[in-house]
Amino acid sequence: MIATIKAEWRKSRSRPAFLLSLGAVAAITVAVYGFVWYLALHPGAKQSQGVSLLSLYPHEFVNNVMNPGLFLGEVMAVVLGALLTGSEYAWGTTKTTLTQGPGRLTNWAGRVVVFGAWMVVMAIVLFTTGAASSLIVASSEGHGIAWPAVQTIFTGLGAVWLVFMANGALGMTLGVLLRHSAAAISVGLVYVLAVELLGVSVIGSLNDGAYKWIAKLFVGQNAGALLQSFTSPAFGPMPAPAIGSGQAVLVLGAYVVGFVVLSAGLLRLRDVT
Amino acid sequence: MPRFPGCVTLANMNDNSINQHEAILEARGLSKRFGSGFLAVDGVDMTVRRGEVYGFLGPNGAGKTTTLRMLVGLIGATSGTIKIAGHPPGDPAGLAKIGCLIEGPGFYPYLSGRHNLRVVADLASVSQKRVDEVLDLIEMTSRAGRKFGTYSTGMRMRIGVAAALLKDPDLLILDEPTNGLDPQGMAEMRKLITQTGQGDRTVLISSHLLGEVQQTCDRVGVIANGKLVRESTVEDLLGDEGVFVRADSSDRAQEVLTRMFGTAAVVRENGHFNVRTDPGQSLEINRQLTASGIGVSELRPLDRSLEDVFFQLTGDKQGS
Repeated sequence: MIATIKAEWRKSRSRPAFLLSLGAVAAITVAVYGFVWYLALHPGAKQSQGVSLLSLYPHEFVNNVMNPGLFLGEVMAVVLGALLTGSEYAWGTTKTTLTQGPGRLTNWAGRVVVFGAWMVVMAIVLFTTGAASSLIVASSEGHGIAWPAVQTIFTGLGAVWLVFMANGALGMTLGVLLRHSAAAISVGLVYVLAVELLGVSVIGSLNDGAYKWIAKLFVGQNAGALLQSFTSPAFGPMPAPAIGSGQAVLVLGAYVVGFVVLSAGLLRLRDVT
Repeated sequence: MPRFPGCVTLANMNDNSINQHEAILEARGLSKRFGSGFLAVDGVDMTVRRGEVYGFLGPNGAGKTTTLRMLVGLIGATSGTIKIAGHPPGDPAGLAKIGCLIEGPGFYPYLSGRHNLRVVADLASVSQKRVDEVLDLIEMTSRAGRKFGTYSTGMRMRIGVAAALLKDPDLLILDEPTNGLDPQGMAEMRKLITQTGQGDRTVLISSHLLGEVQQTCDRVGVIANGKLVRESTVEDLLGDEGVFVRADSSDRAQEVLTRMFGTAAVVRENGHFNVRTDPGQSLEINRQLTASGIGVSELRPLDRSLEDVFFQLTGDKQGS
């Protein structure tokens, strides 16, 4: 599997989509920080209610990057996953890859490992940019610098990575299933931005909420709940997440495994035409 | 027979190695029915011997690429057996000995030619040094830094062949390697294939360009409508030697020729005769015909091309 990991890493590290996504992660994080900072400094604005400068300081940066983290997880990870697998069919590289020696499952395992590594890099860029932004805010406001505990940072990184992976695995599976990157991206985005939200809303309203437990099994609901669990009094009063963080980790983990296994099965059994 | 210089011909196979009679590829009763019910390949029996250059001929849609895809494990056979390089199709140990270019080169457009080959070398567990060797072999060293997406069709094909050669494979499978190339590109690709086919390497080329196959192959398999209708040496396929005769008075000329060579050896078609005999008899044919007062307007060795045979084989089958 080392051979496939080397090959996957070699081709993806030069891929514009991956490099651009890292830039986008940094830009979105800075934009979110800038926007919240503006709101905190303009208490008269309607949206600024409950926004505190305290939430922008380094001590809170892990909690603060969870918002852009959720957006990035739901959109960018799906797109990257779909691109990674779907474009292999459009370029005809699937046949090139599968005729070199390593078996189909080995190839797939290497691809998943490298995608996982990219999601780690994306999470680190998110955290690094958040930390740097918080440092700038604190320095500008003359506030003392205090960082969160190392354990909090790593727990946060793990949570964001899991959210990225669950959504990325969905994108990868769509790419394999549809064998077309554009179609996979479209279906993936429509699902996370519309179908899932509608589905949760409809299921939650059925029979006086008797089927809410089904709604709690969706990827987005668990991702939101997990990242929402990273909060503090600096963010003001927040409603308790509907799903416990432990359950969210289990459900998201099950999605990652499920999508990876489903894709492996499709790759193993289907003809490469 | 015109062929690759340096390749092992059937005539000298016995002198080279006993292994050259060994089959490197054997397919028996190979069939592929797609989900729609379409039978693309129907009971193909095929043998490629070690060290030979095998031409896999057939019109578009005959089942060539489907067969090749089955051979390398990209698609599964509905029925039949395959043993390739000593292993079942798609087996990593077998693939390690096979280099292939199936249905056009498939590479990453945002990477350079060299970078693409490095990715393939990683996958095949081949030294990165080999990348420069094959780039040199295909004369692409100076253009290897350009992005693959900017390459011409000919350059893409070259990179495809280079990728197939990275493993220094025992068996090289090239599917329509001259597809989409202009005449110059075709000539360059033929030269490239000539170079790569040298030595003990077995080459399986699929093509519908018959002149190309006639020039380069030891044996051919002809597929039509999914069935292998003929597998033999090019010599056997082209048949016996003969003489082409065009004369003034066809009926009288037929009498003379039949008297000389017998009824079975003289075939009259479209105002001329194909006479199955040694082309050295041309002088005697001319002498007899003119002595009988028959003017001879054309007299030459019968040049029966692979194309003639191909259309005879596939045309009949296609029409049935």
